[in-house]
Amino acid sequence: MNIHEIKGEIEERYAKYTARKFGILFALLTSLVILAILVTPLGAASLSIGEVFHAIFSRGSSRADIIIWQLRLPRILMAIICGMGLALSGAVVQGVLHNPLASPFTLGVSSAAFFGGMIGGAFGVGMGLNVGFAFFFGMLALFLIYGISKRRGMTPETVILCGICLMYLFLALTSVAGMMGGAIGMSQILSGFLVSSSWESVLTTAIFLIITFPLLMWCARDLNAMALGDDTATSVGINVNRTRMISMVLATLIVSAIVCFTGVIGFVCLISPFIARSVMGNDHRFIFPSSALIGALLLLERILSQELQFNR
Amino acid sequence: MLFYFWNGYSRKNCNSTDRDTRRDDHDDHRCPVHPLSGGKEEWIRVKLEIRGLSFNYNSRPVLKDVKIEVKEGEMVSLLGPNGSGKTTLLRCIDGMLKPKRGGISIDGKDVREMKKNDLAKLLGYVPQRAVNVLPCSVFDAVMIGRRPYVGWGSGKKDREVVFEILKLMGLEDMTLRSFDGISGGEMQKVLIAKALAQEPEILLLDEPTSNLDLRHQLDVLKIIGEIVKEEKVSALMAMHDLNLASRFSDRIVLLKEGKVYDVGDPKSVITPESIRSVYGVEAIVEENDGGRPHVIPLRAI
Repeated sequence: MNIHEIKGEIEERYAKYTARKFGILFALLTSLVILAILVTPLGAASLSIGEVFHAIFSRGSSRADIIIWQLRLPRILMAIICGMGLALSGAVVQGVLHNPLASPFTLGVSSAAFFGGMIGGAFGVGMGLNVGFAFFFGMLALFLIYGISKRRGMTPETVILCGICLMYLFLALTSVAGMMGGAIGMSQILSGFLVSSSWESVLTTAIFLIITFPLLMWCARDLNAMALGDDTATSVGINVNRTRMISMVLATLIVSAIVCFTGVIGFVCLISPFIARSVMGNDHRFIFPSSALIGALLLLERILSQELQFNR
Repeated sequence: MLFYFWNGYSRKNCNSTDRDTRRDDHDDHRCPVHPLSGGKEEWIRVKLEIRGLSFNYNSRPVLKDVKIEVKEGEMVSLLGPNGSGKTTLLRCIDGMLKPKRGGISIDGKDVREMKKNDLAKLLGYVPQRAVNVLPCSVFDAVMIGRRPYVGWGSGKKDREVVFEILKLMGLEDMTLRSFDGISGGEMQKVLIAKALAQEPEILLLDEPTSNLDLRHQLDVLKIIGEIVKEEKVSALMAMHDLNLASRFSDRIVLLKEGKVYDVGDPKSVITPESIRSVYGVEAIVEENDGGRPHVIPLRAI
């Protein structure tokens, strides 16, 4: 066989391989849009699809308009943003720690951040302070885990066990604080609450997601190299510690912003990167967006199943 | 066929001006002319120079006053028993470890004054083994070597270089396979391919043949040898196999307890006496088909 043909063949196969990944991303995006449209008419008040569309585009003051604009849209958008952010941060944490079991939830970062958010809320200054406190506690948990695992050379499984200990510690602290303040019940803390989403929460979390996502995509390539070992990454000119630090800070930032509004939602940040890896391989440049889309799909699907369960 | 690809990969079309000016700048930096050398090697430049390098892990000294020179287009093997400091030396050169004393310079420039990215364009490092918890495809693994050259995405030129190197290393059939779905030998080849994708002037290899079977050992060293000769790349590799080192390298550096025990061509360094002293092994040294020494170990002393 001619050399050009062989080379052409490799190139062709590679092109197909990449095209397939973009295809999956596109399919995920399409199904997200479709699912969002399907979910909107569902809810306590039964509205037809026609009413929903009318309400979205006219924005009057009828009953349907108010339900859609004040209740349903914020909740659906919040589910999408929250799913994206949590899944993204899960993918980042797994990539940085080289640990497929890691996620903000299993490392205790989510619950620490939620505890921080509650403490911040006790001062009653405003959402900015809440997120700040949440971020501080989230970072604290992450560095505690990371520091201990580095120092003691723990196996990935031990890291997760420690993380789960931290998670329960902070959940306990949160429930004590919650009971004393009488603000929220334990069931809400554990399952997260999307119902009470407002436009304010949608906007705040969206801003955090929009800022962090491109920065994380910029780190994705270096994270790919770090997956082959720190030596390999250093030898191609990557400042391994800096990349690790930047991506962990960004991941914690998204989680803290989201957790302040929704409580601890556990499964999305662990499962979505898993699903993404199984269809996309381990290239972080593809895992990050696909994991985010899968996370959004999962949370929307949760709303869908809730509505189908209670309102039919 | 190989030659075709090597020409294709030739770095002439890749920032050659940069390279040429660097060469002119440091024309004065040539290896000292030895009065007794036949005048044949006298104008070969010193590419990599290690001067009085010392390194401690905590307070335990690992390298003591190591001096090594590697010339352009030369293949040098680092030999020595486990723990003699071979890997540490390579890691110091690549900037992963910060030496306590001494200096390392490439073309007369101190590596500590270089940016990480620029250093990555000069030095290609091949680790002993790769971690692969979250394995990527072989193509993506080799593409990592292009990182010093590209920004966020990967351009057509980078893909071309990677395709050519994959072909050169005989990895074209497994381009899209997952990195953990290939054999240890193939993994080693991928790591070397990654280092070649950096288009380096110096290759640092940490036991490139340690995971390979007989055929792959010879194959990999032959490829490295050809790259060294045709592309004027210098190679410094840590080796365990005395006979492979003797067959393939131009010079040998023998390390003993972090010190350079002996340097020179294979014939002068690999002797029964040095093997007894450095490895603590009784051995017979014969001559192989290429006139190089061939070691037959007998017993540990």
